[in-house]
Amino acid sequence: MIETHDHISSAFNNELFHLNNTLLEMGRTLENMYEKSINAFDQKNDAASKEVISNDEKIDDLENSIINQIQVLIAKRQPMAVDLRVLVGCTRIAGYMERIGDLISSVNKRNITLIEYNIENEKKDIIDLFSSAMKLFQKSLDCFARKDFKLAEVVRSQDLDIDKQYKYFFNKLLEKMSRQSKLVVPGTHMLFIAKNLERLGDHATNIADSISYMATGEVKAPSRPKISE
Amino acid sequence: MIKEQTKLDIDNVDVFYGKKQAIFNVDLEIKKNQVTAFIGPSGCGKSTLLRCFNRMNDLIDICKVSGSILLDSVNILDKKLDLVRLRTKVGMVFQKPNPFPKSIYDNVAYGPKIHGLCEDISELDEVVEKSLKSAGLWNEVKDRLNEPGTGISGGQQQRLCIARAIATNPDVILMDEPCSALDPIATARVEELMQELKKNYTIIVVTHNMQQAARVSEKTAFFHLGHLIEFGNTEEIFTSPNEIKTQDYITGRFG
Ligand SMILES: Nc1ncnc2c1ncn2[C@@H]1O[C@H](COP(=O)(O)OP(=O)(O)OP(=O)(O)O)[C@@H](O)[C@H]1O
Ligand SMILES: [Mg+2]
Repeated sequence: MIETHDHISSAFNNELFHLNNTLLEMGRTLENMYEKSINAFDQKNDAASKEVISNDEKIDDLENSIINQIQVLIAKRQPMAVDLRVLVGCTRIAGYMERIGDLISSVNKRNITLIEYNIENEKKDIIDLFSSAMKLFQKSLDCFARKDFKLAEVVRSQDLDIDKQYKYFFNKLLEKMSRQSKLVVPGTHMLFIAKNLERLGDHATNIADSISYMATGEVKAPSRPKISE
Repeated sequence: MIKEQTKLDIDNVDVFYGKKQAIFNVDLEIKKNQVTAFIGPSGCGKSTLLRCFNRMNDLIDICKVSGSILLDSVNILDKKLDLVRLRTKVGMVFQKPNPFPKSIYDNVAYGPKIHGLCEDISELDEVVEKSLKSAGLWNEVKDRLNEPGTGISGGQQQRLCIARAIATNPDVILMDEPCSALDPIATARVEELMQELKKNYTIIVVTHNMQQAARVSEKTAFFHLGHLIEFGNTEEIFTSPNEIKTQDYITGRFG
């Protein structure tokens, strides 16, 4: 039960519409950051990575705007039931998106460091992981835009694939690093990058879970199997 | 968890005003020492149902009530019931503070006096003091007990009416929009008082203020056009109600 009828108060409807748009804008900004980051990594482009890092400020601003809007909405409208859940859900989603922005920034910082190293052999795995994380985020954004909490289940199950991909890459790289000492420095950076990408998948799942919560009022989705490292 | 005891068991109640039916087949259990809120759009029958609990509807000629309402397993709709006794057991506080045009003291003393609940003046004095204290009004009026009850502020008048209602030592207190004429501070006082009072009484409150219902009650009943649509734990009703009608109403949507 996520959307029913319009509110009698058109101002309230407009405020919710504006909040929704701000979240979507935050989502689109992140989507753009994902795409640019993947290219920057692929092409060892430090200027592009720097640009993405500077974009993170916009994410912080959008998060602040969202929290302010929600604060005013709560004070003015004293929301109940689905309205209350939507506002709590949006607060959480804004927080997850802010962390996604942070994680993308750290990946780009490491990309800049990695430019002087030869990482041709690992590149493809990282780009695959990055693309999976991006696709999952896009799905969760879609889930939000359509308020379709059935899609949330799909996001949860696909996050498991990312976990598997991560674990596979982690073990493979670790094993290589133990044999080639020149890989230790770039390899460590890549392990952190991979971990961050895996976290991106978790946050996409968190976003999807928040949408389920908005719809159903269930605070915590049933826990899913975790892959041990 | 202490097991919830039923104070009022409402079963299959219909109410008619002449040919017009105002309450349809309502079943409801009001639990002891809890606050139960009645909410719903204007004209949905909240006051009508509330007035069944102290048989106030008897005063309206065309009003006919059927079904059964057990107060501690006594059917209060029974024609032979002693109404005077019932009304000492079930007190009522109205939307507009309505002190009698008498002194503050007499407003509270009135019930115990006419029901002969006190042996002598000193016992009556005690009841008046205790009731005013329970209503959180004693400190404000103890030096002006002989002044008219109508000469204090609206919020104080409402607490005076609550003191009057509890002076007869009732089991149940009915409140019909008790705070709608009060400012936020006076409202907070009355709400605080309800939390205090429910330790000894069972309270049913009709309110149009959703936040108030959410704040003060354990259970909430939502009515629509004379039907009980949803009844349950207040927390659930206000965070994730089961019925679309309930949600539309409490969130201010078009139904
Ligand atoms: N004395 C009466 N004679 C005839 N009809 C009445 C009488 N009192 C109430 N009604 C009708 O019964 C229905 C329920 O009224 P009631 O006063 O119980 O509603 P309510 O939920 O308390 O509304 P409000 O929130 O406006 O106080 C309404 O349709 C009303 O017009
Ligand atoms: Mg009424």
